[in-house]
Amino acid sequence: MRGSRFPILVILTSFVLLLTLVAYFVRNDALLGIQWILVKWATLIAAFAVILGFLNVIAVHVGKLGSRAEGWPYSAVLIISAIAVLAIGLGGLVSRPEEGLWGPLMNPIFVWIIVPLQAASAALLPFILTYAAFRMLRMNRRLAAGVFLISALVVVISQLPILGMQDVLRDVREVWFSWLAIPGLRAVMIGVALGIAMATLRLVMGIERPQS
Amino acid sequence: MASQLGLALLLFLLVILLLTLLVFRRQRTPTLRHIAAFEALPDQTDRATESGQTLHVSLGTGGIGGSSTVSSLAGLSVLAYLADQGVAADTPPLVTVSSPTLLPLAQNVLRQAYIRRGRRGDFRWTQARLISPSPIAYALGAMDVLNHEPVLANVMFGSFGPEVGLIARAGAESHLIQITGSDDPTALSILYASTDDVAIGEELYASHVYLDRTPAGDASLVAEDLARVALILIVILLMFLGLMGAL
Repeated sequence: MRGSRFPILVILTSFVLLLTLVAYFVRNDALLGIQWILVKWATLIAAFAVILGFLNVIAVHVGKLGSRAEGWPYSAVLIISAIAVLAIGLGGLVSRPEEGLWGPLMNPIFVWIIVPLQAASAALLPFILTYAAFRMLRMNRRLAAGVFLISALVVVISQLPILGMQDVLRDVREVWFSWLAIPGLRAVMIGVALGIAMATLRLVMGIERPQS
Repeated sequence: MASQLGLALLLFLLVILLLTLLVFRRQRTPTLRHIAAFEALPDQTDRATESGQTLHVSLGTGGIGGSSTVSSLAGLSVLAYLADQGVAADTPPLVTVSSPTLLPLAQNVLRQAYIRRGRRGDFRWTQARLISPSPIAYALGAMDVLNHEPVLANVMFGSFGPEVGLIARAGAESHLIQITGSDDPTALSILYASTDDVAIGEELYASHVYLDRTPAGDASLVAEDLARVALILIVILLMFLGLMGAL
């Protein structure tokens, strides 16, 4: 990424970036047409990237299988699953093209296997966050850890059904959120917006050259 | 109205950037503020060289072509730096991505590092791995890498969601140093609590400038800081006007 040997790439990137950017601010049919063509090109490239990605996954796990690396049986399961799902998807596409990839076999695979597995993994997150809070207390961030812990306690305790105190607890949570949490969140988001805008300008002006 | 505000912000930034570039063309390079996450990276590459182990670099669950493009490019800048150092010491990083659009770019960054060292033949395409386009499945795959591959540290820069907690947990379990950066508030709260150094919000986008210092890049960060101060002043002014009932 350092020092461009391909100035034509830099000029091309700046031109395309500028064109796409201007199309957002200036309503012009010709510009929108060009933007649409660029989006179609990007979609086509992304489709090829998916094929490369699939081959990469297979290559990595065939390598593990070949070298009998730790956990190689899982790699075997992954390769068989990937090829089976691909065959089912393509088979469905050929036999019932009107339904696309979501044929009678593909849909249950997602609904009954992939979605529950992902939901089960996502359910671990609250426990992991609790662990993160304790880990933070062990690190040298005393003030930040204190604020983190107090925030977590405010959120948890204020949602408990403690008789006669629901209104007070709700008010405490409201104050905590609207006076501290949301302004902090907005500050981060304003900084992010500024950072994205400046990074865009760096790319347009060729100061940052990820393409070279 | 929103698009006009956006255009006004861009033009405002452009003017400040051009002025800053003019000023710093004549003066010496400015001193940038410290960002612990970027300062910690060279230590990790040194440790990797000494131990002969490698670093795991996660480029997040975002890709190229959507709202996460800028953060993904920032992750690639970090990868470019680590790849250069790693290839020189024969400990190239192990890269994982979630989006197929990011995979060829990550592979190209690694390949370029090998070419710069005159070792084109040593590059293997599987040094950058696609795990899964699904965030949770990606996190589980990255956990497997941290738990079973011989990695020394976990470096995560890019777009992440709450699933990053799973990866950070695996890193902590394996007692790895973890250096991270994200622009998502939920991911940031998790990373701040569970990893060693975090580039917060817009600090992530400064990765290219911090790791590959140029006068123009430095000037752009000074311009960004000036714009931030100006925006803070505008917010305070609007707040006072609001309190006085003028708005």
